[in-house]
Amino acid sequence: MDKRLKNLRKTMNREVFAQLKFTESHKKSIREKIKQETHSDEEILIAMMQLLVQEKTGYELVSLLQNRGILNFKENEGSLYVILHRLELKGVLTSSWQEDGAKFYQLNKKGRKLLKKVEEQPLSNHISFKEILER
Amino acid sequence: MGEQRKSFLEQVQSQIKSKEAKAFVSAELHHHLNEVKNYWLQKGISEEQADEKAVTQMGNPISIGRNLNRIHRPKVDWLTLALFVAALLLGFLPLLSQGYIHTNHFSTYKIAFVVLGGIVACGIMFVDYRKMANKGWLFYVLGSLFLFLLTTNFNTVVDGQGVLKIGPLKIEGLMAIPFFLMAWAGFFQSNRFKMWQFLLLFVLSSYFFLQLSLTTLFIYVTMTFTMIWWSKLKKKAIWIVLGSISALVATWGGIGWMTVAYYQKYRVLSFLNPYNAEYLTSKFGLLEIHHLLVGAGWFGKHSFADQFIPEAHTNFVFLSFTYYYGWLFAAILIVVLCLVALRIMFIARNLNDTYSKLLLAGVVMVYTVQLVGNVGMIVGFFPMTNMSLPFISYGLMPILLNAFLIGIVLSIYRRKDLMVTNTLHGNQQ
Repeated sequence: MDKRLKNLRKTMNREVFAQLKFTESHKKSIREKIKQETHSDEEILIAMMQLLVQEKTGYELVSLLQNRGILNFKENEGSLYVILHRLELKGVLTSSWQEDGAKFYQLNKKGRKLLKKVEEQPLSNHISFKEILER
Repeated sequence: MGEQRKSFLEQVQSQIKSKEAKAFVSAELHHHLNEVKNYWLQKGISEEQADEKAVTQMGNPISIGRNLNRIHRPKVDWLTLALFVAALLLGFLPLLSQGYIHTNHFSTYKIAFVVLGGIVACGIMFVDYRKMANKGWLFYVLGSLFLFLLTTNFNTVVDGQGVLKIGPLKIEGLMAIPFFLMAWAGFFQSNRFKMWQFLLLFVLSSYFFLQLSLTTLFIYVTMTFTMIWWSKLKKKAIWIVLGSISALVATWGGIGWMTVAYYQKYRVLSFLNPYNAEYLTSKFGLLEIHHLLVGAGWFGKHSFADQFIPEAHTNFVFLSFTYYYGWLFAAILIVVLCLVALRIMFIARNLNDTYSKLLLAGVVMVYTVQLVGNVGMIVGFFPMTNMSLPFISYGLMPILLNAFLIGIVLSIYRRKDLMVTNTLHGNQQ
């Protein structure tokens, strides 16, 4: 068993890791992650909901969020759709498909109410938000 | 489509179970990738590089797919299922109380019925009910054909009910209710369905039901009259049509009174005037039922001593149940059965599309009519009918009917969050 594992290690070193280079782009991305100020899930959600008062696609939303300095979706834009779909399922957003295949999202009545409630509360105790985040 | 994009979308899809979700997630991400690609193309880089950048900006396809799957995976409504199972299990109690369980084939049949009911409900859950939306005509024709064959071939009459008996199997008109439920839901969700079509189809099918059983006709009429309110027909027109139908039926009822069989007259009269001695001596009457109900007490008699209850495991099952197990158990039974109806209404409230709403409106009505009808005739505010208590009364047809209803609910719940696909396909065609 021991021998076999050692063999595996040897082959890995020879075959796989030899090809793997720690490139400049790897370094850069690590540095960026360190620099990046992280926003809490609550902050992101509030920003998203504020932006979605007007109808938007996921693509438009990502660039607007980045303009606001929220970089959580950089190199991770797909995860925005996870949040959008969750909000839609919770009945906070309504969506509509356009002819060209674009899907637009907008805050509905329930969503606007929730946003108003959350904006009035101090950031520390968003109970109604927890409900959306956990699931 | 670039190779990279293709493999990215495939990896996302590989994590998602639901076919519908696969389609709309992929369409949405595809659109996003196009937008990002266009952005980079405008910056003046090559097509290939732009595509690559768009894909890398998306992030890890596996984790995206996995998280989306968590949201869109088909769901089982465990609450309805639990209530269904609880009700089915409660349905064994009446058999236990009457000692049938030891003596004869009743218990074997009952187990077979219950298992069959469970299979039907779970089987329908996996069927995509939305594919039936435009098959209203098919269901109508099948239902009518079934009724027609039954009216021309029934060989037994049980309490004014035409029944086809094949060996131990009794085929009743009740079996046609699911067909017409699907048919009307299909018709009413359509914008092109006209009032005259409704009248024609309704009168024709009611005529068939009338020949088989008044009770089933009653279930059918209440179901249809409830569902029509969720149709695309004008409210005012519905009022006028339903009003005139009711007026016609009232007139016909007045004339028909002279011709109905004695036992039917007896039921209505004893309902209107339960304490008239004439109706008490001949048959099991309301006064006697009342006496037994009150005598049961909180914990029941736990024996039938020399009390004889007719139809103790079918129509009068609620009475025999209460007498044997007491008010407390009867209350639990009623609560469980009512929760089923409430649960269905709760699900219906959160739906956005007409077809599912129509189906659930029909389901709730068919279920509630049976429940209220059966308990009502024991408690005394509903005339004596052949209405069976859902899940509790002995008999294959009622179990299958109610299993079908539960199956529809489970099927709708399973797909209720996938409504978006409708608009997607509508736009892509």
